[in-house]
Amino acid sequence: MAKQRKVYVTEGGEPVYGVIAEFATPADVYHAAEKIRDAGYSQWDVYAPFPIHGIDEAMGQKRTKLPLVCACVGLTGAGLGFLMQYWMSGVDYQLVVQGKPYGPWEPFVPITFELGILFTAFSTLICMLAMNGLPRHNHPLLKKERFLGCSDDTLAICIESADDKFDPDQTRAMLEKLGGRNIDLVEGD
Amino acid sequence: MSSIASHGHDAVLHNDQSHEHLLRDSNVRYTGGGSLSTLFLVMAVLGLGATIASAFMYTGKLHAIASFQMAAMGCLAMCLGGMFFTLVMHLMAAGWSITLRRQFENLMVFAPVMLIVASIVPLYDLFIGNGSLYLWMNDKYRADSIVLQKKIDFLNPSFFCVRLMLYFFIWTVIAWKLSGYSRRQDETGDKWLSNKARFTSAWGMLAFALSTAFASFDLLMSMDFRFFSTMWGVYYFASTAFSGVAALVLIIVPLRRAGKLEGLVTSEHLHDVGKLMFTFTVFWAYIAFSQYFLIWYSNVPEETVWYLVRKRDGWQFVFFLLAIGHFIVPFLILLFRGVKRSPTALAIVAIWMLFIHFTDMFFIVRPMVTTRFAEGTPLSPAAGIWVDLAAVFGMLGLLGLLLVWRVRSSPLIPLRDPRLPEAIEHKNYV
Repeated sequence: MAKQRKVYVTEGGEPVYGVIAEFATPADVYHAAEKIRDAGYSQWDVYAPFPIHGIDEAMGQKRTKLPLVCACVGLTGAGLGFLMQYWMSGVDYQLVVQGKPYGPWEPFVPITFELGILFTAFSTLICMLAMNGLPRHNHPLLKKERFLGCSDDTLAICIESADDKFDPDQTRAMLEKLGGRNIDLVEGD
Repeated sequence: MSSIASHGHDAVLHNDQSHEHLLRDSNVRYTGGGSLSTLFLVMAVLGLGATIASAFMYTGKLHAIASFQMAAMGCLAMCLGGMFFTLVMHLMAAGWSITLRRQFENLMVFAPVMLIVASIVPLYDLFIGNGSLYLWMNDKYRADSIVLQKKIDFLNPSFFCVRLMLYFFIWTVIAWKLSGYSRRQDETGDKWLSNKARFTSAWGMLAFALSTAFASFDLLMSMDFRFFSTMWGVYYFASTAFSGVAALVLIIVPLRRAGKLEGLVTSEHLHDVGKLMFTFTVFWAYIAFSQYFLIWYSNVPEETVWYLVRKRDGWQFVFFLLAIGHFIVPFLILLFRGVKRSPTALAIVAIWMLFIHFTDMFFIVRPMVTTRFAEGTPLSPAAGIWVDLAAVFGMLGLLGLLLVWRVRSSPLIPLRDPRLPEAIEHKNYV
């Protein structure tokens, strides 16, 4: 039986998206991320206006599966490219060019390569967007005036209510203990 | 650059700790290697001895000198690869690779030595052997061949000797200067020596590129004087970088095994070295295919003749072995992140790369034994293969012996390079 997830609702009847807390320095947010990772949370994210080196490990992010998809699609593209050319000039419409044999592999290489690249490029872009849930038009966090600072000078962590371990009071208390400031409830879904 | 942005956690988490403890003698100096030297010496004596002995056996003299030249050109490529990477690292002011640079320098200084070794056969052919391997040195073709007479301004004995001396001079100057600056910096700590090395690399890269290309024309392409390929210099250069980085891995990984370079050459560095191996696998394939493809398409007799003899009598298997082993196999293996970060896996790939690199030289040189126009019976690649194996083993033993001596003679990294901290803290964030 699938585990039923608790749904939290504010007093006004709005669903709760999560709890957000701000942090003062990159080191603070880095250490807080390590603690949250160790506490076993999975549905949360760090927001910062610049890349913080090593934050992936601090958050316990797993490596993306994207390269695997790209490799499979890319090899499929290369194979299709080769077969297409072989079928056209080696089987369906044989033509003598410069006395060369029918369906030689040599002239097929550039187009095989190009189709491999083309398929890889498209699959990379499309899968990246899909895995990130993009494009999306709005996000509950964007309602928060202070969150907009995350594109300027604010560092924040938001733990989402979708997380199994999420509890409005305990999560807030943990963030407070980790040095979070301006802790706030985010509404929306 | 905002320090908070790029190194926010580094500064706080690592507390700017000093790296002095990593530079202790037991970590940066190699004093062992006695038994390794013995092994290499035995390899060199047995291998080269067997090659010389084979000249008086059923395989014949021509086969012996072809095998010797193949092995010499393969080892020369490794040394030139070391020179290329040293030059390019200075030019780019690369920080991450400082802890690797000394081993590239150690390879680099043997480029002039290997050039001398690789000059034995052409000089023998020129003065004694009457063009047995280098056909343009043969009196008969010099008298009869119109093609050769058109090329006589370039392919003549005196200019050939001048060019050999020029390559020797260029490589000696580059190796002597760059290696000298690096070692002097170990003692004086003068950071301006890095700038001098960079200046040397600026003209050195140009001189290296031209001399490597022309050396490959003289020492490999001119064996069959009818053949020409404007891609040839790049083709040999691709092999130098390919084998040079493989050789680096085979120096670094055993040193790590011996407990050296702890914290100096980490899996982060190996990861990037693996990327270089991947790069030059693809680069070689691109160059090799481009050369073959254009010759195949345009179908001009004096070009196709080179590939024609290499696509029959069993040589077609070597041809496809190169396509698969020199490109597809290392390409697919090196795609994986884990392979690039594992010293053992990387060393295995490097051994394979050196094997296939010598197969490439084998493919270039050995068919010359029977490509003497219509003369001689076709010789399959497998016939007398032990001579080729012996030559390669012997030559690797010789180079290994020199390298062990050189690695022992100085610290394993440039101890006081101003960019050393950058290299120690190097990390791949993806």
